[in-house]
Amino acid sequence: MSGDPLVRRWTRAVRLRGAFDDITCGVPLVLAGAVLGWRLGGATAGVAAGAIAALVLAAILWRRARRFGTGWLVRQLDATRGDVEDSADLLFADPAALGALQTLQRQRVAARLASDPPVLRTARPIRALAVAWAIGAITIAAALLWPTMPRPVLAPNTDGGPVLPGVPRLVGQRLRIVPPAYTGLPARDLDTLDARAPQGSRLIWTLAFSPEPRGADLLFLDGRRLSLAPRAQTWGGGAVLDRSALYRIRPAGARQLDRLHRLDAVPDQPPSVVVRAPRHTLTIATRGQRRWSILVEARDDYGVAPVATLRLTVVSGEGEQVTFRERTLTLGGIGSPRQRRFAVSLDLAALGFVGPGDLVADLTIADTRAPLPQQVRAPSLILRRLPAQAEQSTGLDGALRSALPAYLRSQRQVINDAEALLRQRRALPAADFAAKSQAIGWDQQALRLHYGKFLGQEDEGSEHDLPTAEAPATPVLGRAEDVLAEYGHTHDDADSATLFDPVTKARLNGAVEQMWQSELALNQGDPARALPYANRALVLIKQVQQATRIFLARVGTGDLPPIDEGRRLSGVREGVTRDDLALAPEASDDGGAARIWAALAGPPPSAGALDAVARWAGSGGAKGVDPLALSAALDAARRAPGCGPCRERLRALVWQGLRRPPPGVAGRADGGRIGARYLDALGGGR
Amino acid sequence: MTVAGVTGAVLAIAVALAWWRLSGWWRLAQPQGRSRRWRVALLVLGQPIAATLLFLTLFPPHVAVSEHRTLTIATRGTPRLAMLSPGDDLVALPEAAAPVGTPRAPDLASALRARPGVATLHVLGQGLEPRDRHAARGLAIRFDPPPLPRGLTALAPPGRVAIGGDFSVGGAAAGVRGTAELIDPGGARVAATPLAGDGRFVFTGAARVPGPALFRLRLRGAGGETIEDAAVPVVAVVDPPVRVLYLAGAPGPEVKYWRRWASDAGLSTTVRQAVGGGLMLGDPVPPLGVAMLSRYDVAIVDERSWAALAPGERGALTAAVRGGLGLLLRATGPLDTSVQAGWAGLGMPVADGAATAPVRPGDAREPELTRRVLPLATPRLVPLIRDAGGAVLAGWRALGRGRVAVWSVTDDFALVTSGFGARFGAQWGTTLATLARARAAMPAAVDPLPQAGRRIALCGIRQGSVVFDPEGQDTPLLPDAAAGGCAGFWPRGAGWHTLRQDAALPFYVYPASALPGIRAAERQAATLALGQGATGVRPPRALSRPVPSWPWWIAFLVVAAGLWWLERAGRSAS
Repeated sequence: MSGDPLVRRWTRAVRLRGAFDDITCGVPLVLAGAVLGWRLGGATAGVAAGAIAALVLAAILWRRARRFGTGWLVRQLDATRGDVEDSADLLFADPAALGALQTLQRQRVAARLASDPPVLRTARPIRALAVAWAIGAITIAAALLWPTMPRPVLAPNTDGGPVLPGVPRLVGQRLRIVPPAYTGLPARDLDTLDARAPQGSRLIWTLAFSPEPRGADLLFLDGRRLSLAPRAQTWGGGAVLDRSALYRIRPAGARQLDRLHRLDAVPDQPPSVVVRAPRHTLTIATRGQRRWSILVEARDDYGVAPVATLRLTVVSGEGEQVTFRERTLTLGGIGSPRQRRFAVSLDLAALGFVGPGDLVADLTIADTRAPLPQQVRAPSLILRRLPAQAEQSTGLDGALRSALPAYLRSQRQVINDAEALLRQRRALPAADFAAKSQAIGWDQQALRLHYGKFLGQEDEGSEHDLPTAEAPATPVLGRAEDVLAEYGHTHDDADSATLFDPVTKARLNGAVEQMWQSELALNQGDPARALPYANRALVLIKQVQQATRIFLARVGTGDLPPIDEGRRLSGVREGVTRDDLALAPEASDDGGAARIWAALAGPPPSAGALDAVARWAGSGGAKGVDPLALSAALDAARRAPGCGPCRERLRALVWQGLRRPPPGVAGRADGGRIGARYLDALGGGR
Repeated sequence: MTVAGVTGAVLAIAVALAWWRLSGWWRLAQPQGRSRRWRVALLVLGQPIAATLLFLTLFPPHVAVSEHRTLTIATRGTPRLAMLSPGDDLVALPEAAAPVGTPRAPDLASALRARPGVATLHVLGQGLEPRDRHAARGLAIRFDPPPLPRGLTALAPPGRVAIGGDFSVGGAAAGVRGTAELIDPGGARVAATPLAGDGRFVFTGAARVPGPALFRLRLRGAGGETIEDAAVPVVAVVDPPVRVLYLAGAPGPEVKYWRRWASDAGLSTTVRQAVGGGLMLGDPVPPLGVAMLSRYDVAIVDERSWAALAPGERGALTAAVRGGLGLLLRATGPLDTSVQAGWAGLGMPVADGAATAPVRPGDAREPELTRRVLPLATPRLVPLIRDAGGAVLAGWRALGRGRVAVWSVTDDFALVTSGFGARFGAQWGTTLATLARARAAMPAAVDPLPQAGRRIALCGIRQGSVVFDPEGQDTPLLPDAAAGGCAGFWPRGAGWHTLRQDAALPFYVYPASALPGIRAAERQAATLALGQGATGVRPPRALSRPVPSWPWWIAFLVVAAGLWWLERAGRSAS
């Protein structure tokens, strides 16, 4: 700004006007800043933001007011006044530095301006105004209308413990449960601290204490500890619910323990599978059957995976010429996620199932559990096409049994293969010959292991799948029939396997031994050396097969007392006691619950009685009693030994674990002398 | 000497003094100044009259009063707007919430003492408290019982229960159209039955542990809401083992499973099974005799072993039963005529038992059993076991000091083999408890349903017995020989009390506010019984009332005033 009074006089109106425009532009922005500040930080922040914005505005105003200086005036006068004749700068130049002509011109211009003072104008900043007001309005509207973040409203704590001055106490609580995403369940907020939620849910606690503690923990009864983190006036923490638990909240500085809260983890159930078609696991193919339909229905508590895996095993051939082929299909289910149906119609010819044999279908269905889905295998379904001669005697179970294919190469087949290989010896390269010999050796090994099992040897070759849902889904052949091998594994001592009589056992041992030698030679690529062993093994096996009797050892006869010859047949019974005939007392399986029940009666139970309850609960005696409830009741009784209702609660749980003893006989009173006289007077006549 | 006597003597002396003074005046006065003779005579006569009247004023005579008054008594539960006819003499007892202004009496005896001549009591409300019943004896009672309050009106807690054994709880409810439930101490519902008709119900539960256990009886309304929740105390006892002699005619599953149960239940058993040809299995049993049988509490005999007994043995058995032995006769097959005759000699109603009938099981999962068709449903037998259809499976009757029973089920063991061993044991436990020889030394008896603040009687106790309350405070008992060795006890608080003499006998005391319906029913019944037993005439008792004394007082004043006037008139005349 120029100090020249002339400039000041002439630019006065323009300066006022400019300031007014600037203020008009700035006010909405200042207001917007204030409202934004209030919205984000409350009233104080709003006032502060407004003040800062106003200061900034003032600074801008002051800076902008300086633009109306001498330069600006000269440019304006030159531009707007023709009579100034572009000589306005002469008015503000140092007169001493001017030449004569310049001075003259200056006087002329000054005189003209004096006679007609300039009226200066600036353009009104319409666009700037509009933009500023629009920004201000939008900002204020957004600040006012922006949806407020729902701050969790804490439920009041209703446990009602004693209020001690200066001791932190839980005053507000909220438990948010976020079930795993695959369950599709919405997150929910609970007002209580007890929860029942799907396993794997994320639990988020928001707690408020009064007064503020230095720290707060969740103490789980099983020893885990979860430290809570302070937030704005609340304390929060989260954990994944992987198993049911009891916990309590303990703010730092609390004098006494809070009551226990209970979390129940509801495990995800594996899918339940029902085979709707075929109706039996073993189906005998009808003559001319071309297709085989399978319909399986699966239900799950949250969702069945939309695709299932179907493994098909075609077992063709019979007797000793059995071959296996496997295929895997992927089936898509139809229906709702919780209940899907998997249907397929198999083209038997396309699968290569043309002759006699079995078609085994294993359907594996998974649910949507994350990270690892639970897989369940439907029962193996077998379609059996009977050989021609067996088909003639349909209806006879015995005939069907005789035609059951053996799933192993037979010893005779091993010999045949070895002989065939020997004949091809010249035509084959040495490596191929060794490889084929080795392949026959594997067959020989499988057969040896098979027979070894009968002798109680370890089943080293195959791996038993656990019949559980977690086991990998691999097809098991002949599952419906092969129950003995699956569950009845005769795990005898190798030297005393009792299934066979000694002679048969010796033969079997010999056969297995010969198989060892045969297998050794075959694996070394020398079928010719293997053949004698293989033949001897075959002879021995045939002998075993022709054995008709099975030896069953007698047990329990070694403890009989010797016969007393002096008393024998004499009829003398003196001294004969019935000790050996006394019945063994019945063992109760409630783990001494009756003693514990009695110990908990009456006055406050001793710590020993409570320890006995804990041992009882831990030893598995408390069958049928909710373990978490028992832990909670035990804990409550320990904390408040004088609390009658706590003790009654504990006793009620112990009662649930009591078994009913064998009913006894109660006595009755005889009524004393009067009763006896009464009965005698009745006389007992008819 | 009584006050009246002293007063009379003083008055007599006063009369004598008056006479003496009159005679003195008479002798000292001048003949002409003497009063007239008639005036003096009146004065002399007037003295005893005035004295007599004064005496009667002070001690008015009694007159006999007639007994025709009716007293109306407001007891607990009297409505505030009771219907009263005008002129009713209403007295409120402390339990009654009577209208303001009604005279109150601390008890009925006080009210009667203040109102002699009452012959009839009109009882309003639920009835008389035990405290007032003695005072009401002998009065005619007019009592119109109001309907009982909604809830439990009767409760029969179980008696002696063996460990593991069944117990029965009976009761009745008024005004409830819902269900009654038996809840065990673990909070599980043991049994439930809908309430209908007269509201009666019977539950069966099982005692699982020795000692006291508190079951609960819960009445629920039609909407499932709890109307009343009453405690059912169950005390399971351990008694000395029952000694049983089992003579089986043949080995079989019945004997086998019976032995298993008896061994588990802690019975002392002697089992003998005949296998034919005179051979016996099991324990050696000497020939039956009265002395030998006195070592047993129960004998179980089936028709085959009965037929194999010698006549002397049968006689010994009968004699032993008359001496207290329990005898269970099992019909496991057709009964021949000699067996029928023998059993009929014991008072059993028997038939040939050739026909069999199925036993209807109570639970659909239970196996169907078989019974011999015998005429057991007869008034001569007390039913022991019934099936679900109500057919009597076993019944007993008393014979001398002992009891004889007939058991008609032939394949009870199927209960055990199909998983209902507890039911098998409970049946046999109940049967043997009924039949077994009665025991002389039994623990003390406690009044049923003791309640805090009410006197209870403990009977069969000895010197030095003590009751411990739930807090462990002890109260020594004083058995009263005149009351049959019973002692009174006032429980102060609710809960399990223990009577300790030889062994501890726990008994449960209900809180003072519990069982309102049962107490109301008890008051009603007692008041009605009092009314039925009363003749309306009190035992002869001199009832008199003093006549009012004011007429004597006025007469005395008149006489005294007359005497005074006579004397004054006489003096002024002289």
